[in-house]
Amino acid sequence: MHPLKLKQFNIWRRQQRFSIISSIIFVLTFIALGIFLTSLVNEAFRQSTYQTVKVISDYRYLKLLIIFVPVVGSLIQYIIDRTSDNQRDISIVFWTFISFILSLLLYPQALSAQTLRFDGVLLLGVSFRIDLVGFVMLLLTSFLWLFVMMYSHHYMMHEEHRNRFYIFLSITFSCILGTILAGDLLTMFLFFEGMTLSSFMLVTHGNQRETLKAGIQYLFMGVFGGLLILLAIILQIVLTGSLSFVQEQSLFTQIGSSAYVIFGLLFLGFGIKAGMAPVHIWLPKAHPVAPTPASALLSGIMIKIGAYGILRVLLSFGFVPIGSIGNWIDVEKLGLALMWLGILTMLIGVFMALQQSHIKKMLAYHSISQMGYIVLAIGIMAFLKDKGSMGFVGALYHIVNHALFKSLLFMVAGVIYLSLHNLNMYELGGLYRRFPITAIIALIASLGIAGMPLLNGFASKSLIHHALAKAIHDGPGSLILIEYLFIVISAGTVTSFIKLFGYTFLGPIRKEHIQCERSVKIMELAMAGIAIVIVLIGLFPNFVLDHLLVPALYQSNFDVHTIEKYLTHVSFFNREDLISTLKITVLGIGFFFAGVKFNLFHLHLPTWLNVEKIMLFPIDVMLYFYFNVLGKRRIDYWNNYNPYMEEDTSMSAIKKEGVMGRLFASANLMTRTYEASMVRNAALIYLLVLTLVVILLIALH
Amino acid sequence: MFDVLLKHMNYIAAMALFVIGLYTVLMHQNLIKKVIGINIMETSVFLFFVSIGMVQNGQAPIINLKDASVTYVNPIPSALILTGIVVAVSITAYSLSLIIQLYKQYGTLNLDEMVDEVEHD
Amino acid sequence: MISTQFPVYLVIIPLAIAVILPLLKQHRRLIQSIVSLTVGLMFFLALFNWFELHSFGAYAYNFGGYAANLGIQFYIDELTSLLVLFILFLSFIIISYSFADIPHELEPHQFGLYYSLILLLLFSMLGMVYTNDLFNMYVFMEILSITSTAIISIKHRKANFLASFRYLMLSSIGSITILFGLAFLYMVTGHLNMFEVHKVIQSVWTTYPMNLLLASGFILTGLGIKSAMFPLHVWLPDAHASAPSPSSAFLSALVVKVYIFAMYKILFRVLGTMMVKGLGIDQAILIFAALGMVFGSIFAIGQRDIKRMLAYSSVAQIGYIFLGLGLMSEQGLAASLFHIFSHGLMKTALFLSAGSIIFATGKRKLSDLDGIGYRMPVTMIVFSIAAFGMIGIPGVSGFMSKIYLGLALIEGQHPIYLALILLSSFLNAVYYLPIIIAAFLKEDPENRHAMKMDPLPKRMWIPMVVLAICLIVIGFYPQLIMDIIEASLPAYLVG
Repeated sequence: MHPLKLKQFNIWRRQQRFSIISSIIFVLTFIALGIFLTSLVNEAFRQSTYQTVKVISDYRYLKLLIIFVPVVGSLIQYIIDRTSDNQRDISIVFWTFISFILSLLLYPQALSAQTLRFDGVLLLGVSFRIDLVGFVMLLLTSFLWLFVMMYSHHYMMHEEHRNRFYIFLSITFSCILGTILAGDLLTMFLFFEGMTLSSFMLVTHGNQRETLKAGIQYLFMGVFGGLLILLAIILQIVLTGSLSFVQEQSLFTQIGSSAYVIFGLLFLGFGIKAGMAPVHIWLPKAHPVAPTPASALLSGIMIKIGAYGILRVLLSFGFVPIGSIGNWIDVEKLGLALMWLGILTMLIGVFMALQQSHIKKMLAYHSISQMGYIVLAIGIMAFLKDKGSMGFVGALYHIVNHALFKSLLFMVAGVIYLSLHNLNMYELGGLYRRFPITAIIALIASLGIAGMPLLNGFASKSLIHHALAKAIHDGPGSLILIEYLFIVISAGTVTSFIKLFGYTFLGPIRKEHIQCERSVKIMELAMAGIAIVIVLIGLFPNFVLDHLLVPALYQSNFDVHTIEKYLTHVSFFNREDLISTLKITVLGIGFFFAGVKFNLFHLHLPTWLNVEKIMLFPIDVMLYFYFNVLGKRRIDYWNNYNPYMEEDTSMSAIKKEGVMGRLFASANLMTRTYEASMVRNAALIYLLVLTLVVILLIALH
Repeated sequence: MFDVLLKHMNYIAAMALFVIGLYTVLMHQNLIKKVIGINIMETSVFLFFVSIGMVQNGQAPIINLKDASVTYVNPIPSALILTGIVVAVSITAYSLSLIIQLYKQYGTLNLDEMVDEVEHD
Repeated sequence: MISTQFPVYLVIIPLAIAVILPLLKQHRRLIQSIVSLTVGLMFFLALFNWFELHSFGAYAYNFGGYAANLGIQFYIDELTSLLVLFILFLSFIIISYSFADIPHELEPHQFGLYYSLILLLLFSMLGMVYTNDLFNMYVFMEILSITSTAIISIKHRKANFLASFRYLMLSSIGSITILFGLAFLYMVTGHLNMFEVHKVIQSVWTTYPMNLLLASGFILTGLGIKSAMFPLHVWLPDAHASAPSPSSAFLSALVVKVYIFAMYKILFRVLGTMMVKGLGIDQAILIFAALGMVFGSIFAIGQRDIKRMLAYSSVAQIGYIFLGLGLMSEQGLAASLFHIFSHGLMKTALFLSAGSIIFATGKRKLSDLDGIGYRMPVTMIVFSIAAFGMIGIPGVSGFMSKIYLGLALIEGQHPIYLALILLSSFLNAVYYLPIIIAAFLKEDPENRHAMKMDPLPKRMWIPMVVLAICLIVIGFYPQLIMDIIEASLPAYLVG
């Protein structure tokens, strides 16, 4: 060959190495998944398959290994491969693939629900446990992570600080796996906090001003949630003496109303991460600003971890443990509260999503609303107690489905952003011409989230709908309102995705977009991998239900008759469900045209309706008062260090600031006032304290 | 009433001195005056401590081997206060040396002015 | 028991060496080796003593063979010897760091003087921990206050002189107050030995309540000044911020803790749990502690200077320690002792890393620290670990302090204080996290994204890394420390 051509060939080969290896891993992944799914169906096949890998799958510390593989991998990739982007990304895909395979191998341990304890670590001992609920989460996480990693190679080429991004991505991955595999609340908290901190670096990766602002809000809400969980942990240790998720008898029956305090704290703490209303305010800011792979994973996996936390604590502490007959604490009330919170979350999410024009922002609001479905389903589960198996399955199924289509939708947005650097859907159009495959994938994902039959959203939404019907049948009459809202909100989701797909991919293409860059093959391959799974679940909704979700039910204390009656041999494509889907679709289309006609998609809400404003109102009033009383006199002291504000620290700027900036500014002010007046009179303080102490002692005596 | 006061003379005197010393420290911004105030406070405590050891009709605690019936004043407080005075003197010396340095650096002995100067840096 | 005399050696050795050091003038290497040998030797003596104590139990050492009511007495039990061990361990780390930092901060001829002051500081701290005699404690306290002021003013800067003068004034007021209190105590009991005083107090308590009340009020207020209990902390920020970094570490991590330990002794050895509870002193301590926790953090938010911020954070953390103390339960005491250790480690790590930043870049304003994580990764990682501990992220020892304190608070039926601890943790996050964010996320305008090794000598970063490792190990295995603490809680503390 001509030397010049050879050189070009070598360059080409080096550039394509990532794609080639990823494709191989892509194929291997599906083979592994296929083998695993076959083994689910065929008992004999499972025995023989797992017999061959017995050494690994029975390994006692496999759970720990799974948690530490990504971190160790990231260290190796940093030490060896940090200079070459290709090399590093290959290595990261490889390590993710390893954790995916290891997760599959964990299945026998999940069946027997083993616990691995390390006594003495962190005083109370750390334990790891995997059961089928955890296994579903684990499988979902490692599967999605693998495809997002394949996708992210090309995307991240346009960002800076790639090494840092991948290191923190791996740490986040480890922490998420740890949260899933935790066997008690303390272990869960340990990894949960790690996840908050490391994912902060992902959110603020862009280093822009608004990125940092969103990230800081995310971080502080996360830290606040963490402190609430810590409070709950301390209360629970003292009151019940145990944090383990596996209990011999029901824990909370003896401690009276403190149980509700603990549950409330835990729900709020995990709810912040799950994007539950009214503490969802960080989500629509943080998710859009993160780089696309990160926002796909944030929306796909991370917020599910919050829901998983709620599910886990309810199942472990609220439910009577399997095999024991104890008293129930009043979980119905908790369930009812969660149901209303869920429907509120759905409502806020969908309504706000309809008002957005930025694609990623709209998707973020949809994440909130879909989390509402999950919280609603968890609420139904708690409300129906041992008969709540449908709520449980609905929640878990929807966690899986939403993770798939939401991360896919974010990835689609990423592809568009990469070529056009514009995500305002009203300024796009006709993109199916330039991105045919992406358009198909976007269509699949949109129909999936809208709950169309033959795609995955349909199955979980109808399960939740059935559970809701049962709850309405058993519960107070006011729940019928939830039913109506449920239908309206589902219709709103349909509207929203008609909007998204229609404005972005259909219609005439804009002149400046005709010549835009085409999408990269390997990114589309990664997206196609997820889309295939969506279609497969949609076509065979019973498969996942029968072989993964229903077995999980038997590991908790759910009523067997209910399971058999409602959840074995479900026929998803029945007349009623299809008709109700048709109703929802028609309603959704109607909303769309009404919205276009009456211009309802560009409402400007009054500021007092802003959830953030309402939540922070008391704090704001206090701080503002403080400013006006103390601030006017001491304007010269304002020129201060404040990391939460921009350079301008004038009065008018502070008025506009968020609560963190204002908190910081008033702390500054307070300190200046204090230091200027009090510190000088140290002896006076001494005199006062001395007199106070002596008088206090004498008086108390 | 008067009796009680007289009986607790040492308390009252010590308290009065203590308050005077504290007042000096509080009200004067001049560093040397502050040191003087502290010295007054110290003196008050020393006086009080020594007065504790007083024994009615007691003699100085020098052992008189001839007369066994002599009562002595409690010697321990005096001995302690001797140590206390040494400590107080060393603190005074150290603070005075600091004051010299401060005067060299700031050119003033007024605490307020010094604080202002530091804060404006 | 071989090591009976060791506590005396431990007190005398630094005193003797401190006298020699100034004679060596500018022989830096010689001074370094002498100082590190001395402290190392002391550490091993203390370690040996600590081991032997476990088999032989606590003992009192009478100087000159005089009886306890006549002479001075050292009382050595597991707790004191543990504290001494901790002091020496931390001192060794700080001193080995300071060999590189001090020539940078001081004039060459002050090198020997500085270490002689440090050894005197050690002398007085160990003496204060060991002593069982009230007046002896006062004398050690005075030596401690002079030396700790001197290690601030040794740096010839305007702010240092002022800070150390104000510190000296307040701490001598504190000493006078304590002496006043001691006078009252002596008047009633006729003893200065702590155990003897305690015995007498119990019988005369009803006869002279006024005197005892005044005594405890005065002594507690005086010790409150010295240990920087909240409204009396006014001297602390200036003093800790302006001192050379190793001195700040000494002051924040050790000196304050020694005063707190003196407070323990007064409360438990002298007054006794019964009386403390009867007088309601514990309630007062709880209130002051809670105020300190919240306001210390708020004032820390308002700081512009990194070391000043750390100093205010100490005020808040001292509040945590007093909170455990004020609970007057076994758990509370263990928690507060645990926090003494963990805060000592964390604050040392923070001050040393702040010192390294000042050493390498000369920057100490918080707003100048953008992108410092790229220039000094090791330093900033140590800083972040310690700061995470302060915030209460699991895995660092600070988290375990919070758990222990929280458990003790709930057991003691004080859930409201637990909420305040969490509020204070949140405020800690408000001022610590922006520094970490700025260090690793914002860009330094001078050099962009070039990650490189810290421009520090080995002597400086190795001690910091050792501290960080200690923090993480204790964070995961708190029992390493806690078991020892619980085993060495003496009977008089438990009451």
